[in-house]
This record gives sequence, structure tokens and C-alpha cells, in this order.
Amino acid sequence: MQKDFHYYATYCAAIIAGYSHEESLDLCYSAQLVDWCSKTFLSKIKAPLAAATTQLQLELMDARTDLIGLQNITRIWASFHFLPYDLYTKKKGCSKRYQNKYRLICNPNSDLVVDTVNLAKGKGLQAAGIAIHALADTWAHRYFAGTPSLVINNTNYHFYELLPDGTQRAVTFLHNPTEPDDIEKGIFTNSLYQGNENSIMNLGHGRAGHLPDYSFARYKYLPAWGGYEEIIKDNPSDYYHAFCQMICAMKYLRGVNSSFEKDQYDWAAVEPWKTRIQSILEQRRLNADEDWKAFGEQLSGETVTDFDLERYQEEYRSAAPGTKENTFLGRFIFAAMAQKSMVTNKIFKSGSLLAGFSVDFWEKGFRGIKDYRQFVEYVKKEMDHE
Amino acid sequence: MSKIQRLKNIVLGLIMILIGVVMIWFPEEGYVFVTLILSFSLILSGLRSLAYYLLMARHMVGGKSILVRGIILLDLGLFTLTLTDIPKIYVILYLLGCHIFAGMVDIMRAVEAKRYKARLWRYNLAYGIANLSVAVSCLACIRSTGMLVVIYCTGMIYSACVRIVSAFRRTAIVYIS
Repeated sequence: MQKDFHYYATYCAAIIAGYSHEESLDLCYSAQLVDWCSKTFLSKIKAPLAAATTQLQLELMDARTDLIGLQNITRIWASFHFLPYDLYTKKKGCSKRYQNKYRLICNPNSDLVVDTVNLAKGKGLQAAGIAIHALADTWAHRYFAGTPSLVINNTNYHFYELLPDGTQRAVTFLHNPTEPDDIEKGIFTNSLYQGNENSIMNLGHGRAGHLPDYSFARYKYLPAWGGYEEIIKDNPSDYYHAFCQMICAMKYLRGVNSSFEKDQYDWAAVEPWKTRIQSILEQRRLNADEDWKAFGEQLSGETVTDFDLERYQEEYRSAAPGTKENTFLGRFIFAAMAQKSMVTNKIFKSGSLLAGFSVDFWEKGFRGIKDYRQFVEYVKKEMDHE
Repeated sequence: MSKIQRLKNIVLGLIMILIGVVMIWFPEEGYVFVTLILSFSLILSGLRSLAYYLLMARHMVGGKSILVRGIILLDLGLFTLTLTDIPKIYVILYLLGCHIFAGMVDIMRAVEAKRYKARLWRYNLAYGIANLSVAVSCLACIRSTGMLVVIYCTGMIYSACVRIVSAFRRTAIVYIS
């Protein structure tokens, strides 16, 4: 998903869920920040690097794919962009190594998405934004895993776009990341084929290009893990489901709904705008920022300011040590660390080391990455307040 | 990282440093050793591909290509091992390629980091310049077998040090339930 959905559509969903204009802006800002909070960004504001929620293209190119590097990559992408569907699923006749990767395949309505929303409950709008980002991505990024893996994430020449007139067209993939996708001609950019299992080119939906990120796209292909069974991906339908599920999650986070469960969609709340939303989702273009923004402004009657990465940086930088957690970015950073820690723990408990080791603080005390000491102090302070 | 993985990294790192130092000490024999390493790395890649096919890629759409790759690499490795002398130019091209690629990536990262006003850009630029300097040294020392071995070994000792340092890194994630 892109800014149009993570920022503007999230704003719309927040307004429909009953948040005020200002709250909705904070929530959608946090949801969009997940796609920008890289090690480079954190280094610039002198924040703990372990809070990274994404990796920039060149960070990925430079990322080590040794054991530690792979665990770091998996922690970031599985926690925020590709929540695993079933960490205990079994596939017959497979090695443990294959099965561990297979278990990281993302799909909506997982236990982890419920855990993610529950974790954000009562933790502020920044945590809510992170949870909503992860939830929305489970729909866009389904069938791919947030870890480099050829055997899971690869695609091949059997890749067709299903066009609105009912015909289908073979997708042409090129590998130049600076070339924009040509929707009219069906030419898209994807990552280069690399026969190495752990190559960064095989991370997430890289081999399918940006097709999962476009709300209008419908396509069919053979996923590497699917045993030659074709998958049809219907993004307009998936994105609509995501939108309606986001509203359920937001209503739970606001305290309107008593719980958030799998497979819940607030169809009724969206019904008055169903045609308009579906028309925005179906439009064939590289981004739908303007339409979502106009829709949001119509819903709230307020101006929706554009996403500005610089907005809260000075507030964080100038805050005195020990008070940074009270800033906007401070709250975002600790919410990101909590989410990463939770997902890593779930993967670790399932018997897989793909996301690294997880140490329960209450059982074994502090062990591990130094940045997390700040997180522990923060949690202790929060508990004292409570 | 488990204790065994840490231990493996330390032992491998120490072995690499030892080999590097010995090769620098005896550059003429070292050159033969470098070519041997290249041949064995082909054989090892072939075997790894075959193992990868059996454990993972046989479940993948189009996984047979991995099997074919494994057989070809293994065959090529065994073939090069039977040659008594690998032309020096291949070794130089291998070193040159590695360092130019690493250097370019580091410099591109430095440019990106600077654009984001991140502090890391100086380190990236320094790594990039160092890698490109090594590539230039390879070209300059095209006639000196000894210097070639020194350059190769320096890279190997550096990797070994990174491996050992990473074995001591804290990697666990704290979880507060």
C-alpha cells in the first residue's frame, strides 16, 4: 500500500470511526510514518535504531544477509508490513527450514493481527496508527512473507493482469527502479531474479513489483509456495475489506466496540459512501492521493494537511533526555518497539529463529539489544503511572 | 544468535585470519592458495545448491532450475580443480568486481543518507572510498602476485574481524508481556 491508503484513506476511516479531525490526522500520520521510519531517519533524529519500522531501498541493498542481518530484516518486515498468518501451520514432507519460512506468509485475519490491535489499545494514537498500518498491509501483501525467501516470494513468467474489460494481459516486468510503472502498457518494475534463497531481491512482494500496492490491480500468478496452483488477487475487493476492518479496529481502540475479532467488517458504517470508495479504489492510476484527500475533507469539513516527514523532528530533537517519550515521535518510537518485540516473541515461541531471540524481561531480566533498555525504562514508567 | 552460532563465527573468523596471515607471509604459495579457494568455492556452491534443492527448492514453482544450477557449478568446480594454473587475470577481475560493486553501493548509500541529513553518511562514504581504492590498487598491482595476495587477504581478514565482532553483538529482543 502507498501513501494514498496509509495516509489519506486511513484519515477517512478514522473520521468514519468517530475520531476528531486532529486525532485522525495524528493517527494517519503515524500510519504513514511506518513507511518512513528507517535507520537513516532515526539516526538523523538521534533516536534508538532498534525502532526502525522500514528499510530504505539503499539500506536494503547494503544490508548484510548473514544470520543477524536476516533476523533484523525479518523483524522489521514481518512486524509491520507482512504479519504472518499462522505460525503453527504444517506442510507435509517439508524440512523445518522450509516450514519456518512458509509459516511467515502473510494473510488477513490472523491471530497476530488481533494481538497487534490489542497491543495498541490504550497506548495512544501513534500505537493505533502502527496497528492500522500493519492490519491494512495484511490485505495488500497477502501471499508474501516479510523475510527474504526465494522459495516463498518468487514469481515467474506466468503473471497476468486482469483488465476491467474482462480480458487478461501478460505483465511485462523490468528491473529499473527509477522507471515509473506504465499502467497503460502493462509494464511494471520488479526486483531482479536472484537464485540465492536469502537475497534481498526475494524480500516480500519485490518479485511482483508494486502490483500489490495498487488498489485497482487485479492479477493472477503462480506463487512460489503454491504447488503450481494459480492465485487470483483482487485488490479492489481486498482494499475495501481492509477499509471496513480498519474502522472496526479503530472503534475498538476508541472504546466504542468492546472487542476486536477476526473477520469483522463495519459494512454498515461505510455503506453511505460505498460507491464513492469503490470508485476511488477502481481508478487505474499510480496513486489516488487527491481523491482520498477530497473524500476526507468532505467527511470532516476540514483541510487535510499533506504528510510532512519533518513535522515532529525538531520537537523530538529539542526535548530534554528523559522527556522524549512525551513527544509525538517518542511515543511512536516506543509503540514501534513494543510491536516489534511482540511479533518477534511470537515467532520465537513458534520455534523459529528467523526473527531472532526473544527474552522475557520479567523472567530473565534485561538481556539483548541495548536500545531496548530505553524501552524497558519507558514501560516501567508507564506501569508506575498506572 | 545461539551459543553454537557464536562459537562457529569466532572459530571461522580465527581460521580466516590465520589463513590470511600465512598467505601474506608466503605470497607465491599464497597465490596458488587463492586459486584453490576459488575452485573449492565453486564446488561448495554446487553442493550447497544441491542441498538447497533437496531441502527447500523442490517445493518451489520452477525449483528444478536450482537442481540444474547445482550440477553445473559442481561440474565446473571439479573441472577448474583439475587445471594446474588459473590465469591471474581471472583472480584480478574477481577482486576488482567485488570491490567496485561494494564501493558503489556504499557511495550511493552515503548520498542517500546525506539527503536525509543522517549522520551515517560519512562512514558510508569512507567505506565506499576505501573499497574503490582497493579496486584501483588491484589494477595498479596487476603484475605483482604478492600485492594481489595481500589485497585478497586484507579483505579476508576484514571479513573475519566483522564475523568475530558480530559473534559478540547483543541480538536478543526484549519482550515485556
